[in-house]
Amino acid sequence: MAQELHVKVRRQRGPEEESYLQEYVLPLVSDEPVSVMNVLEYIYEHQDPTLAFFSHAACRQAACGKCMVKVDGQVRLACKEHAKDTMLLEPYSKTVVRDLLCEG
Amino acid sequence: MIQIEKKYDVVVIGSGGGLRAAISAAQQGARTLVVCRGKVNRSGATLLAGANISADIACDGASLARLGISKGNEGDTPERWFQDLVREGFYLNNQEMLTLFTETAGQRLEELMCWGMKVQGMEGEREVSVVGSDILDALYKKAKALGVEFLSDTIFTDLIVDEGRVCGLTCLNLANGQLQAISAKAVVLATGGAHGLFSENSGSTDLCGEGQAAALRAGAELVDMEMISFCPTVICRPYMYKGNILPYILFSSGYGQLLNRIGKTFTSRYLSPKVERLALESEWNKMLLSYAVQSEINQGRGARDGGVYYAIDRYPLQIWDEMYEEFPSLKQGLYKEMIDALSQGSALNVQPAAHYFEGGVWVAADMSTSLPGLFAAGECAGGMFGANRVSSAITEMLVEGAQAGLSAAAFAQGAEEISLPRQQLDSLEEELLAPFGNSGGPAPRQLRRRLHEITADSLMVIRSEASLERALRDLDGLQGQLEKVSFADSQRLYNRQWREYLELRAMIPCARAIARSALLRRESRGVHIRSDHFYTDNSQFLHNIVLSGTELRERCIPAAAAGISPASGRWGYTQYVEKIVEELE
Repeated sequence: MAQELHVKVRRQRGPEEESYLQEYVLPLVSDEPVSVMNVLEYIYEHQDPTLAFFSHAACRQAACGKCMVKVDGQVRLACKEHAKDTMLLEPYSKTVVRDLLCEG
Repeated sequence: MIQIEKKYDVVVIGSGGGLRAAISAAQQGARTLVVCRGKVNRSGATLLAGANISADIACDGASLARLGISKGNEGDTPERWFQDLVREGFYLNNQEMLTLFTETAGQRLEELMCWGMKVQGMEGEREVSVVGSDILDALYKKAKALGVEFLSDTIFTDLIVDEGRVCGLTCLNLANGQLQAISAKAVVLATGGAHGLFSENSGSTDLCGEGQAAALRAGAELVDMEMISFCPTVICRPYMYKGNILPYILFSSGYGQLLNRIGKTFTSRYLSPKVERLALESEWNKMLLSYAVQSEINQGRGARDGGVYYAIDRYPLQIWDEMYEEFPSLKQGLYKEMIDALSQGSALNVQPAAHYFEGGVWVAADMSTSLPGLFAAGECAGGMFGANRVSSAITEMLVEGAQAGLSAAAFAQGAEEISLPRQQLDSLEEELLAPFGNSGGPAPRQLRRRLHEITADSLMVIRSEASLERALRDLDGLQGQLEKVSFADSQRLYNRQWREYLELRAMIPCARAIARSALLRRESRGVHIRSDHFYTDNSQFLHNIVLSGTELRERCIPAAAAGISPASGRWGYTQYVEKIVEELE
């Protein structure tokens, strides 16, 4: 893997708001597997505490099926999907509550 | 101003034991609401029972034969099971509750099967193998059919108390960012454990002790808070799989080895041959292996990047076929990735992680707490398993939930409605929103990180007076810091910083209660191990420690006052484990 991860996230402040893209650059400190969820958690903890994604009742092991997110256009579970060097993360449905969190 | 929502007879918080409680309450005609942190049938501890591969529901052998599930243990009786459970709990169990457990487990299993849950097979003599999500689906469907209402993605914050009893509760609806108050004649807490206060835990992210903390604030009591079961071999690295208990499931079935920094096995260093065999071959492995693994790590012989190594020999290759046959779900998804890594010679780093909380809200055998109108069930209630849970937590939540729902409905029937006191709601609102008005204070994440340092240092498997006193001091400091918290995120809608503030408001008091109880128990018993008092002392500590008030006032209840009691005296910790096991045989 590269030394940096470049992640573009489609953000939206609320259901009726316009969406926009924000880019985050993360240093990669180890060569072990990294999930999309790990990346989102890293951004929340170290770079941007306003980024919203499903995290309040997450099983972290692909059992609850609630952390869905579009990764480069494909709907995936954030906890199960491996992060790529460069990726685009978007809400998985049109019913956006905030950023990557959707209704349902 | 906090919005006041509809009125209910019974409001249940949580959706494991909570769902079962709601079913009982609705069957009695109570207008019932379930408030749930996540999605009702896909959240909480039940979902992850047995890593959603092999959860178990326990039941006496006679009932299993009656239900046509297994004839393998036909001669078993609820009474015999009861005897075993008291010993497994090192005599601290609430024996009246335990009677309810052994006598009604069969009914609870039977009804779940009627409601659509599939039995996968048998796991042990008294354990039926099921899938966690299947249990939730069956309960949810039944509750819905009975007209139970649901409020999902909502965090419970506080109980409202007036005229000496519970009259409602407040919560935050995450999806719209609004604080809500709900009027209820009776409330059932079923919020699960307080896993979130440990960095290393095996639960989902919704288990933060909100029920226990709110109960304490409202005037109810906590019991046995020092008793926490650690799962000995939970993944800590790679981070992607952190919190997963697959190595525990495999190791319990005999696959793989635990190795230290230089690739040597180590359990015999800490356990006598007899106890080591128990640790490796029986259901007692959680308690005993946690002690051995934690000891090796504390001795500085752990893996270089955390925990110890879990590895499986590559040869003979047939081992792998054996394993796939036993656990077909290893062939796909995340499990496949982990197994592929193991089969290529990579180890998984594993360590003890908070797994199950034996202690919790003090309840009587009818699941009533010491606060009128408040009931508790499942992991957030304490007392059923005493100092060590060996049997099934799923059975516990079903049995306690069914009873709590009945008791809450009966209480609601005889209770007048109290209108929610506006002044109390206003001052609560002020407290819950305070960080939005602060500036320059610590971020919630900063305090959470500190909390995790404190709990890792003092409240894990092996404890001591010095570390517990340090923890209490540090937690008091943290409580003070909590008032200064400020947010970078000013929106209320799905604001994670706000959520973490509310979680800290629950987790810090829970951590204080655990530290205080652990300090008061100057002995080692079951899952509570004190390096400075490494013996089990029946002469002085055959009692449950009960705490109340934010200052954590202590009272002791003699355990086993009426029922089976052990010999008086004092034994070395492992010596006493051997003695208990001899009694079991």
